[in-house]
Amino acid sequence: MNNLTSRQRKLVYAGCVLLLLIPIVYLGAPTSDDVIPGTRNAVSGGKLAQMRVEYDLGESTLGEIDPSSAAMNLVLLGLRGPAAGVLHLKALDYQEKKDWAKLKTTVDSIIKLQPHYVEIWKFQGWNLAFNVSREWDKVADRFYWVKEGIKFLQLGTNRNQTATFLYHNVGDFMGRKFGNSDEKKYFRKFFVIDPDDKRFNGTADPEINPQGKDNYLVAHDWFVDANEKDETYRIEGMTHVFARQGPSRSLFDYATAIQSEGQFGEENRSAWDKAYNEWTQVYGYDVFLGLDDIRYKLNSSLAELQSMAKENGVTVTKQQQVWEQNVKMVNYRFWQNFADCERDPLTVDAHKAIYLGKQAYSEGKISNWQDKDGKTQVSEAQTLFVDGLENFEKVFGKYPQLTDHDAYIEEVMLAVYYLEQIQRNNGQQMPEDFPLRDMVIQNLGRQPDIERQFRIENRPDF
Amino acid sequence: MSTQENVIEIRNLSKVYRDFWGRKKVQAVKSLSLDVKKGEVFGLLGPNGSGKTTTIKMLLGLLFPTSGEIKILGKRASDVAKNERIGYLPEESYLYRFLNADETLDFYGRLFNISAAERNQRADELIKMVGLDHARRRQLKEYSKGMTRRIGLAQALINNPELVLLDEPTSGLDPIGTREMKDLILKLKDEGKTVVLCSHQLADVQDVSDRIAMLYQGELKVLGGVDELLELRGETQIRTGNLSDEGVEELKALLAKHGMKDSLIQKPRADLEELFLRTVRESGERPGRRFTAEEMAATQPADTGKSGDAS
Amino acid sequence: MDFDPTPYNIGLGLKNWLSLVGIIAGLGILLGLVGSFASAGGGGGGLFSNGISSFFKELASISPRRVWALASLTLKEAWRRKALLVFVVFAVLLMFAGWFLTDSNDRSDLQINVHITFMLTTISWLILPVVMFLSCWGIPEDIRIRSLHTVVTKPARRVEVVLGRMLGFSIMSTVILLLMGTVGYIWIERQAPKDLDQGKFLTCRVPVYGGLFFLDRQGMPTSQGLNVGDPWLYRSFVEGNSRCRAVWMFNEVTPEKLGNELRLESRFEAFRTIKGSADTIQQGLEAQYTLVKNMREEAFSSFGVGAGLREVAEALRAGDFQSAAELLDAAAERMQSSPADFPQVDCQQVAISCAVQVVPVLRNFKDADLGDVADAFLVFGDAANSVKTGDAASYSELSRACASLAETVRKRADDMFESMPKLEVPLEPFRVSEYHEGDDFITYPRKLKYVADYEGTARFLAKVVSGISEAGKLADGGELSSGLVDELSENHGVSPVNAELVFDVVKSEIDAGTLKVDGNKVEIADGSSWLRLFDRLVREEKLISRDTAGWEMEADIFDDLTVNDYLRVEVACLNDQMFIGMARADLFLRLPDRSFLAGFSKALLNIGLMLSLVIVLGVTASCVVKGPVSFFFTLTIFVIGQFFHQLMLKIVAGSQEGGGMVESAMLIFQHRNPSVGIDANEGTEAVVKGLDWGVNGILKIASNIIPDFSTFSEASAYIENGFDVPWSTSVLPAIMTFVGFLIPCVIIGAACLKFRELEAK
Repeated sequence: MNNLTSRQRKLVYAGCVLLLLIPIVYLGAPTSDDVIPGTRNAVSGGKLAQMRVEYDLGESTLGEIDPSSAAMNLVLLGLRGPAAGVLHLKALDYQEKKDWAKLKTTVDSIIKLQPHYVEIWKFQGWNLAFNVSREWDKVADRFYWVKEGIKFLQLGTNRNQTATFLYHNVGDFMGRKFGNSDEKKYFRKFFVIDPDDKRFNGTADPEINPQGKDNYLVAHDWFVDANEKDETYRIEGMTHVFARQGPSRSLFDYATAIQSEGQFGEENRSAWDKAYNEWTQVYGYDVFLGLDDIRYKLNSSLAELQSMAKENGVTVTKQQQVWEQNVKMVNYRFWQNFADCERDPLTVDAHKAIYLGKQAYSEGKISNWQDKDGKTQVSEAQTLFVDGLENFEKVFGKYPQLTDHDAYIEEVMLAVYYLEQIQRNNGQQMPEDFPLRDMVIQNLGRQPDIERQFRIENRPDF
Repeated sequence: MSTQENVIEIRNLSKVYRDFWGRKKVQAVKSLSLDVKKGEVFGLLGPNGSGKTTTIKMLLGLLFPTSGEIKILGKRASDVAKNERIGYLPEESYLYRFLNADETLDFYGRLFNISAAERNQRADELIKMVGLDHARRRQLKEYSKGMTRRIGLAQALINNPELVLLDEPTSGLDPIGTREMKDLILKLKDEGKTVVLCSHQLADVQDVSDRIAMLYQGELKVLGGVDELLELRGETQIRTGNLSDEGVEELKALLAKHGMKDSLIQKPRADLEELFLRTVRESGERPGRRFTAEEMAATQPADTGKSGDAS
Repeated sequence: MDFDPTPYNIGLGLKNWLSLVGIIAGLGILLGLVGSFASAGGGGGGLFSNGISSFFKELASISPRRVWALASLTLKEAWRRKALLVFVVFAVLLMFAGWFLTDSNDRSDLQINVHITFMLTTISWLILPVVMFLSCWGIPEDIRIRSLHTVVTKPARRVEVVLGRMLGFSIMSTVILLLMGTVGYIWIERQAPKDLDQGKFLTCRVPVYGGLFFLDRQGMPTSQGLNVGDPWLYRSFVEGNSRCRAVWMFNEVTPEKLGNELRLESRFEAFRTIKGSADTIQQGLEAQYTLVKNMREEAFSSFGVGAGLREVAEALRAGDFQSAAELLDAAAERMQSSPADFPQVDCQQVAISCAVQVVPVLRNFKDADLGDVADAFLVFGDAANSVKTGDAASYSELSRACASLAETVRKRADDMFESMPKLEVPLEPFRVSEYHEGDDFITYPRKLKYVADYEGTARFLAKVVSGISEAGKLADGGELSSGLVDELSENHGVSPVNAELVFDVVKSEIDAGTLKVDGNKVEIADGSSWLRLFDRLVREEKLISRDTAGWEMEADIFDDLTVNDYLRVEVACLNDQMFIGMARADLFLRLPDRSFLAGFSKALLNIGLMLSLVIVLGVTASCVVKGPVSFFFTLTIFVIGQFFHQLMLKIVAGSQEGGGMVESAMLIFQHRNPSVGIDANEGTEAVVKGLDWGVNGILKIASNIIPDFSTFSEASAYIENGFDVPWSTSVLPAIMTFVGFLIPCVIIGAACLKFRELEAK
């Protein structure tokens, strides 16, 4: 017992409390700044708050917070893991028993419990878009479920703004899933005009396509976002130099797609042009880390190589070696040349001629006819095919390195085969010196495939 | 006296408490045999742990005897039908604390299959009789100890039983309550009911019982009528009005002639209970006053509360 | 969702119950005897009989007023102890339900499912813990504070105490359930989006299910269709553009039950082996219903297995009984000469087919007396059954039976052909719409138009013409009546051009001499039936319809297409290289819908029964042991009954992978797979099997005693998916389960309470 009175003791306690407040405030004061998820800006507040933002530990730094998610986690009192586990098993069960409503609800509950577990977002996004959509028979229904998968991933990006992979995934699905499936014709159409008339009135679903653009172009935008995020939060699980190809490859795909749908002309040409620019100017000038952490750019002239070598503190030879290796790896030159070639109006014309030729063939315009002067006129199809082949000859003159590109070889050989059939129909033989004869001779091994392709294209219900 | 039927017959009753393994822990009652006759007030006495409450519980079927026989109103203790004619006031009022007085009596009345009209009437009477009219709508958990005992008594009488078993009826009651309880017991006896009560308030038992039994460590030690047990043989007591000093002297001489030399002649004393009751009554009539000793001096002799034996 | 609704078999259930109760009663008596002898030595017998008699006297003298007094006491207690605060929690949850249930599904019909599920699950899970808790603590608490002592010293029987408590808690839970149910119902109604053109989404379908079997690529009946590789084996598939069919048999198809139309709803699954052509990729696969009445198929569909009798069976099914007779003769000979053609296995199949299918169908035949044919088949079947390989005598017996069957068939060929018709009415094909609830719902009017095949034409014409002939309108003064054409086209629905065709054909038959005209009667020259005549004409292709629409006829579903009130519906897929999948519950007759409220109430009823059962168990347990113990006991029983009952049954039946308890544990420790088995020598294995046998025995007992709580929650599954909760499959078993547990539990509880010292310290 000391000799202080009751009042004095109380004053001492109060003093101690005040003293303790100082370190508490220093450490634990919350931040009053608005934390923008996905950025690492400095914030006001105590040490802990600052560290949270710096190391992306706080929930608010990772993404937007969903109040019901927070509530659910609180209510479960730490049993979040087992609860999520049970929900996973149930989701698998519902999927097997094709109980779609419950599957969707269960998946939504799972992400409320574990919003920052990126693997779930990846898995379910893929599951919904690929597996669940396949179970449905109607194309419009499949489209709906692919959309659900994409929307799911979009929500994932919202909640996890530091998970660059999810952004990349969204772009990937938009481009690849809609554009490469068997139902691509329908999917691409639905992307712009949603089949659900009642809700969308003949426009696109604003949640995934607010501006009503082509799916590849929307994919391109997402890839650009992903690349931007990549600056601060490096993308995981992919080779970096491939990951950043997203935007350029989307533009390539876009140009190819509209071409195969019959759009030629300036729209097509400028698409190729944009693709070329994106590939060489943007992607080409990205800085990547190669072997031994040597930095390089894919689009480098000799002068640039030298300056980079100096920057990196290595010999020019070494720099060149690293650069060459990666250029080969991503096939940089090929795509550059390809885009360059495709954006040439000559190539566009060649493609167009062959496309129209096939159309004419399917419409039966394959017979020679007598004009009013009694001269034999060649059929429309034949004219077009010959036109196309001649153009291609010129193209290959300009771009000799593309003569072993599979797609071109197939196109040319197929055109030749069509021509053969037309000639045969008119009771004639192919002339000895038809355009690009050498190319055909060199690739005779592909003939069976070409013939099969011809049959497929000319099947009655194709 | 004509032979009265036995309301309760106990023959060689024993109760052994065993532990979980069957070993004997304690023998609460040892070979008890006694009878309770119809219409009498029977007191069961004994120190703590003597087996009184155990016996009562065995009578009611709450415990099973280890050996021996019990007959109540001609039926076995385990026969539920006997309960129609029995009333039981437990040691602590084991009632439902969330019910109020009305509901309590209504509930127990229903257990006797009494019709609604009759139930209401009886409940009303009993509540008034035990003096709880002012508190009939309050839940039992708000009652004081005395009030709880009173409502307990009311429920014991709801079915107008022939046999009433009271376990510590006056414990926790103030003198007024005790007085009322004793009056009630006597009233029950007048109505021809048999009352068995169990208590350590010796004075109270003495006041009301006809016969008593005393138990010690489970064995019956004393059994017999109060009068014959308590009667002090070898003495005679005379009470009379206020005698003058001369009269006292004369009486002393008369007694000396009969050979009684050291007789005690004095003013008898009323008991404290009397004083208490009077004070309470007068205070109620004249609040705010303090009474002097003279005012409160007893003008009446002590009322022993027994009927029949005053000469 | 997968359900295979099977109606509840009351008889079986009752039998099981009685045997179980008998066993338990026996055990109880045994225990009682042991107990009374143990505590009272020699006088145990008296003690026991006293106890039993007083117990039964108590049971017999239950007073409803006392029970009700105790029940209302329980209610008051629950109310005043504020046990009903759970309702507040419910209200709070509902308010925030919007948060937790953000429209996950844009598709409204899917969302309704989720809403109803949420509501019913919440209701039952909220009330359950409260009820379990209260019922397990009620009586022990009473005993602890000794208020029960005061009660039992009144003439309240122990059994009344038990009953009163159960009743009181049940009433309480019912009231809460009704309140919550009402709120829930209103909430669902308000949340349900109103579809603009289709009315509401809250449906309550009343389906009538049939039995399903399949026809394989050869048209032979099998129990399952094709497997296309789906891990969930609920559905099996029929191949498109083939003889594969899925066949449903519906019974009680009468206009009284169904109204004057046939409403079929289906939910098939589509499986494509190719995506389809440019047109079909967007549309669903085509399915087609055919209503079939085919007596010959009914009788002979399984008959000719094996090469020996297949031709016979085909002839029988085609109705060509004469040829069938001849083939039977040939077969009879072969049975003697080359018995190897008729292996024992095939003969067994034939015997089974005769016994199970042919004979019963022929015997129960209503339209003609084919008893002698049935007998002949019976004899044949018996002979086939007793055939033994290598036993020449049995084969010659078989041969004799076969020959005699041939004889009978030949004799009755005409009658059989006449009375065993085949009528097939194909309905308009429709496109399968997967997983869209209620999209494949088609109503067919009672009278259907269809284009008849050869046999149909022959029968129709035979009937009509013979009718006209009987009425004397066929001939007129030795010549074919000229009014025949009008008669046919006006009164019998034959198109004019076809009526003329008939006229011409009949005339040419008269001219050819096959028909004799006599006054105004026309008779067949060789005395055979009109049916034979027209059959021949049709086969000779003399009656090919001149009308491009074909021989259009009308059939009445109920009069013409049902057999003993059975209707046979065959489903085919029409697209080549595509498959349509179905399970028994995927096609049903849809009776007029009931209101959603009705179905919802039945689901609530089931939940109420479940809660009451929990109460019964809880109160019973609390009569035996103290509060916490009885709570855990009841909780355990509930958890096992709700989640693990199926698993228990599977283990007991031995169909669960991995064997019993000990074996599974060993497999886990040894990191081995169930199909490989444990790694142990024979002795250890024997020990393990023995232990597991014991454990299985206990599990068997447990599975009989622990109620299957999932029956109650299944009811909710029905209404969630838009179906009415069926009485016989769902509500009745729930009621029977409840009552079945109520009676023994009350007795056990009362007995425990009675024979227990309430005051024991």
